[in-house]
Amino acid sequence: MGGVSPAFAAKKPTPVVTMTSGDVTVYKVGDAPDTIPDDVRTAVIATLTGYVNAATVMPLQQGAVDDAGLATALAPAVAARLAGPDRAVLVDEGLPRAKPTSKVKVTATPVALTGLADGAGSVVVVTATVDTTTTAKTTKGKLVIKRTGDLVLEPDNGTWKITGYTLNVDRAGKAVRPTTTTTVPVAPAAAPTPVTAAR
Amino acid sequence: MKHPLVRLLIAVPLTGMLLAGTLTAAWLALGAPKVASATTWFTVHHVGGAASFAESPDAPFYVLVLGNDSNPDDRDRPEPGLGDAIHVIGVNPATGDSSIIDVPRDTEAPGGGKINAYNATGGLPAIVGQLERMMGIDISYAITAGFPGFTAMVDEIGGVDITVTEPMVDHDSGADFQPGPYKMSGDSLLAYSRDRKSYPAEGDRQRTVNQGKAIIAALTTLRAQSPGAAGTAKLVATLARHVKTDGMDLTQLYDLGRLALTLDPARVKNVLLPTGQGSGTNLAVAASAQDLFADFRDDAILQNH
Repeated sequence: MGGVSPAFAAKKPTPVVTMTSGDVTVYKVGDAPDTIPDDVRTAVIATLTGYVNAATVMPLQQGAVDDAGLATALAPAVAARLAGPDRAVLVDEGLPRAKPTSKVKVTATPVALTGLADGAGSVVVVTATVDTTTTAKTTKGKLVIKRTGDLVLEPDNGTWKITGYTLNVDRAGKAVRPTTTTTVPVAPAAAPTPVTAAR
Repeated sequence: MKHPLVRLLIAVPLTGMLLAGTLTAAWLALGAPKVASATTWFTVHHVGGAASFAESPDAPFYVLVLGNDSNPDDRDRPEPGLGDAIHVIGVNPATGDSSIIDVPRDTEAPGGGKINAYNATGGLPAIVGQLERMMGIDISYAITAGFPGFTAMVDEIGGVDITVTEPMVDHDSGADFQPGPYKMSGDSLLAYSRDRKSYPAEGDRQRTVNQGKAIIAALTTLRAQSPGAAGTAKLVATLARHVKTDGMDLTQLYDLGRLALTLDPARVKNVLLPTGQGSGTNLAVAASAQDLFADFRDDAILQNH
């Protein structure tokens, strides 16, 4: 009796967000086109989507960040910062899990992309202005996470990875109210909100 | 009558730097006037340290901002010229802090003779080597002036906000300022940075300090004009049309510029290298400078000065 049914336990958490691109601006040194090429845009959006799913959705669904997903989305230098105080801004952990019967919902405004093109016309840096709101019903009540700011992406062996960020995250709802009944924290405490980091 | 030779460089991060670094900086020595808009404003050199800024983004590093007195229009002023405006900037990305040591051009180098002459005789590697030896640091980037594009650059960014703290009147430099806040055009900032006759006692030393102030003022202005990651991209694209790079690509320039623009100018320390009378017209590095260098080289920031 009790526990999780085999069927449910085997169910892999589903990414619930797909980012889309919004306004596109290109600043160029030479005669580059005034837009970001489709392949670059697709790769950038894929990285952003992977980041949100790994850093926000998966912790709420599974109780832990998706390390493999983060490794795909973050450049090594940024990934290294997960060991420091910026972790509270980069990922959502230490929060109650979403109820199994409840969906984690993410709404994301179309991502404004700005490219920097070199003299040969290649886009070598893309900045992404993100604004996501994640909501979930957890065992401790409603949770709302709003993350806004800029991400910087640069090419890395055929993919695009996040190399810098200026982010603000605001976590609200009953689920993040401080509890007075728990005396021994068993997981990293939810970050005080809002928290901001820029690198 | 010949114009006094005037040179000035503004680096952003240029990044940032900083320009950043990047870094980020503005510089001037002695130099000459108007340039076409296509003129190279300055060159950013990668002279040491990590192959890529992104490899160790939190590691403290040092940038030399160097103005030389060369002038392609003057046979007597060949490249690379005397290094007549010398500023070593320490940047600590982890804390977001930065410090500047202003080095008077007549300072005696560890290898003997004036520090500014090393640029003329041995080029950038020679003066970088002398400064590294003097301070016990490794310099990663150097920002050097090409032909004076300073006024064009300052004008293009709409001028630089700077506060004059004492009366400055010097016909040779063109300085004529009363204390107060100014939005200076390229010509005005050039005059401000060249003026040494308003300071009978300190002369070139105070001028060197003022150049450091101009660097900070330029950073403040650029930071206000280029908010966010996209703003940095716009700024770097503009700069890249006027900036040469040596051992760096546009991505690295962007990274350096972005870092430079995250530095809070209000927290940048600007400290004059302490000197005393040396041989002839040289300035000898004061004994107290060793404490300054130790403070600088541990984390690139001057906490105790």
